[in-house]
Amino acid sequence: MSELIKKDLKTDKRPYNFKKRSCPLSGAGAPKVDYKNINLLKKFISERGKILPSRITSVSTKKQRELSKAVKRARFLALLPYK
Amino acid sequence: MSLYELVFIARQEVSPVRAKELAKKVNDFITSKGGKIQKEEYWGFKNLAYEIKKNRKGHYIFFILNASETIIHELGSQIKLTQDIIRHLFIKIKKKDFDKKPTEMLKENQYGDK
Repeated sequence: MSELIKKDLKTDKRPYNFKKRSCPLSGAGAPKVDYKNINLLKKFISERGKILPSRITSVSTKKQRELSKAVKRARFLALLPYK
Repeated sequence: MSLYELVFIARQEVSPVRAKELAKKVNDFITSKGGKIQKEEYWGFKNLAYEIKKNRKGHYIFFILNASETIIHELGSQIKLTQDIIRHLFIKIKKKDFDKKPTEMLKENQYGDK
């Protein structure tokens, strides 16, 4: 039964066009993730100063790792708050 | 020899002139030991995001050094002994990541310190 439904779903056209969101930090012309670029880092942290999850910002896994390191360095230098 | 970035924060009571003296000390130390200064920047008297040793503001000074590991270690211990410096950070960087353009922090300064 469940197989049938899956099959139907495949053949049915989707009601909306889901655009694949691409990572804002990878690709040509993307800004370099660096602890010195505070204005860039601020876009990826919440108001409380927490790092936003990549499922919200659609940052790729690799860039998210770089980002978290950069934010932590900036925090150590008191450029960004811990909380 | 490899490239290092160094950022340090000087106390708020310190005058900008004295902060630049500290920068010069680092400069002299590195050159006397045979290292090279690739870049030197004064980011200004900035607000700290949180208090460090009762300081709310601090002078940020930035370097890119080309030096050996032992020199960096020595410089680190010298910085720790300097009471005017409240925090410092060394980061080893790759040669390809180095560019001569001024860093983002200086761009920010054009619009004034918040």
